[in-house]
Amino acid sequence: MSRRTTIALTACALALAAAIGGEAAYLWGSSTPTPSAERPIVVGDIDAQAAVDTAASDAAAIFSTSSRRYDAHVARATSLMTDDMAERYRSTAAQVRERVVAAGTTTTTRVAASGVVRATSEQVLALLFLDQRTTTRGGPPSYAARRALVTMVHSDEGWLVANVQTR
Amino acid sequence: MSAGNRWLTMIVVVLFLAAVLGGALSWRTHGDRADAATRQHRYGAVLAAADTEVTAFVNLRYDRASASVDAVAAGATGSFRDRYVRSAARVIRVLEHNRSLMTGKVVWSGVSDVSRDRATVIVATTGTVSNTRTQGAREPRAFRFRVALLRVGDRWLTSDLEFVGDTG
Repeated sequence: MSRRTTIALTACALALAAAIGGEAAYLWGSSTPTPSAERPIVVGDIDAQAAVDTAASDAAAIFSTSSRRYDAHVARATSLMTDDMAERYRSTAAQVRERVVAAGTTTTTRVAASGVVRATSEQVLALLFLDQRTTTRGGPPSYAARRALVTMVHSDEGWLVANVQTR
Repeated sequence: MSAGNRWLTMIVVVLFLAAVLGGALSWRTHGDRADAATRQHRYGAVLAAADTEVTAFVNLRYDRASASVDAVAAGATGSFRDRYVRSAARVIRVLEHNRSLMTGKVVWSGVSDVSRDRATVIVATTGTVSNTRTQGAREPRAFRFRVALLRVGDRWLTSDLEFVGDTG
């Protein structure tokens, strides 16, 4: 009797341990799905929106320049970027600096609309509609309606701009 | 009952309680993941619907004017659809009179807002326009759209579509 009881209890214990193992694998073992056309967002709405909001405010700052505070602008803009993006931006900014300062160019940018294109916990693509107003010394203002795809990556410092495509 | 079996019984009881707790957690997690998957698939569905509608909107041909207008109406609903259908005859006349050819494609689209039955999507397109004014030459056109969508049955349909111009 005692031996049969032992066998039955051992079988129960093994079955329960297997069930717990399966539950643990389900709770902690599953990976985040890969974004696809059918499921482009694989994070929560709040996380995706936070990244898009950051992309919008960062893009407005990056694309708003003033010839009078050009160097300060570059320093501020690059602080919002990944190292690679900041390096590319500094290179481009240095090439156009003389022309911007000589012409007294000031550009203000506001975000007319924003949306999330694709999102994981590590990377978010945000679509921004940017309205730009540019003035040069003595000239009338010009206006441009741009579209920008901003790639944000998550880092220890929060969301950083990793790439910007404009069309 | 032997001392060994008493210990074994206690282990079985503890494992049973742990399994019940794990089962409850798994059940709740399964529900949460299913809800998240539904919400995440909704993004894909509204983007696809907006892309289809905007693609129809930026591809209008004077030589297939009725089909062009029908394609837009097929993805529309509510007062937007009513207005569009009412103005269809005039749109077709203008297309044919001006021999208008507009081609375009969606470059990027993103979800501004989405809930169970409503969504707002912004869409950027690129393409060309030719008509009698351009003397048949294709001129590049880039548009920015804001599309409002409603869930009707199992489809997302456009309830409003507006150009997002330069707001100065």
